[in-house]
Amino acid sequence: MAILDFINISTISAAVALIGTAGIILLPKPVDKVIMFTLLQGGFIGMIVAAKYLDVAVAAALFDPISTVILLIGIIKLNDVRRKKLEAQEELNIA
Amino acid sequence: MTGAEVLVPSVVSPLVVSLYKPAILVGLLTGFIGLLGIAFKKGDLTALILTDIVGFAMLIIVAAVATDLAEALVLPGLVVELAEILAISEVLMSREMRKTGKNVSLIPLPLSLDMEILETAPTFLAIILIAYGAFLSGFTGGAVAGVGILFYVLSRTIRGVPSTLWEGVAGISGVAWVLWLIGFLMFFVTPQYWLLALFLSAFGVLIKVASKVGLIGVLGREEFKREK
Amino acid sequence: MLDIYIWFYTGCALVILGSIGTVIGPGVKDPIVRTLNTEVAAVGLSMIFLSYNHTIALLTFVASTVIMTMILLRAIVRLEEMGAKV
Repeated sequence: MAILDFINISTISAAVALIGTAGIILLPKPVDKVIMFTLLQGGFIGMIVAAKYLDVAVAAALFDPISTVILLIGIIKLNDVRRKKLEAQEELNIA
Repeated sequence: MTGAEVLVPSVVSPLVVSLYKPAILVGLLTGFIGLLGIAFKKGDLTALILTDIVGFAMLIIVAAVATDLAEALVLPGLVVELAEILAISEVLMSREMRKTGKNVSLIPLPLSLDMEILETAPTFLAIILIAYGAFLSGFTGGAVAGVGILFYVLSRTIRGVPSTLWEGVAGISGVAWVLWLIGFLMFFVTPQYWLLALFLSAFGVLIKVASKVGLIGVLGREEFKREK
Repeated sequence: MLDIYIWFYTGCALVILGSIGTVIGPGVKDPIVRTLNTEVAAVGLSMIFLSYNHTIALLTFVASTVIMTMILLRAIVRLEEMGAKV
């Protein structure tokens, strides 16, 4: 039963946050990284809840989707720019 | 540990004192890693991103003081870091614009992006964040409400900014800053009206920061131009 | 009591891992990957603030991280669009 003592909201969220960190650093593709970033944020919100700051937890939970959306818009725009640049270069090579 | 007892007042809890050494070590290590990265990697954008890491190291060292003083010192640190990153990014962009000789800012590529979250969610999120920011007041409330305004503005697909609107918002933020200054002066000149002075400063800073962050959102909307 | 140590040392680990990942992580030639690795260090710093009970600083930091991400992404996209060597 000693192991069950270690299962509480702090340790679980620390584990989730560490898994998210490993995912963010090791996965190479940006979109995978954004998914793992959401996991990391989930672990962080769990820690705030363990500290009983529920107003801060509400604010952090609202900021999480905002930063995810901003990152997604940036990644999509960057991919668009790179693809258009590549197409322009290919047209230049053919002509 | 005899030296520490002289420096640390007895009201500081021993738990916090025991965390002081690892926190300072982590801060120094992080700053060292960030500065090594700036020194060895080439490229301006790399330096801009790594400046962020060095700023975090500074905030860790300030936070390790662990009293109300630390909380009061973290906020100016955040302001400095934000202003620094904004200024360096603007300098990089304008230098690159002058080097290449073409002005891309006028015609960014339109982005075909149809996200459900940008249609329905922003109003709700903005209302909650602005209400909570007005409740918090001060620089914190300004940042929270500002992010709400930023997300709301970012989700609109209106093209262009009327210059009168831009200058109007900038003017409002200037007037709010004057309110902050008056409130601060009142603390010293007429201390008996301290409550009025407190509210004047708190809401002056709230309006100033929120409107300035909203203008950053307008810049972002022009950059990530979406078409339906 | 133990909770505070868990928050604090997880935060320290995240800050150091995030900063090492930002400098020499896999695929950091791409500036957007570098920016995403910075977020790890930011969340770690938030955990350190949490363990010291710096509530106001924590709220402000979480809000300003979003603004910083926005500014960095704008700079990255604009520089990429102009074809700068980064």
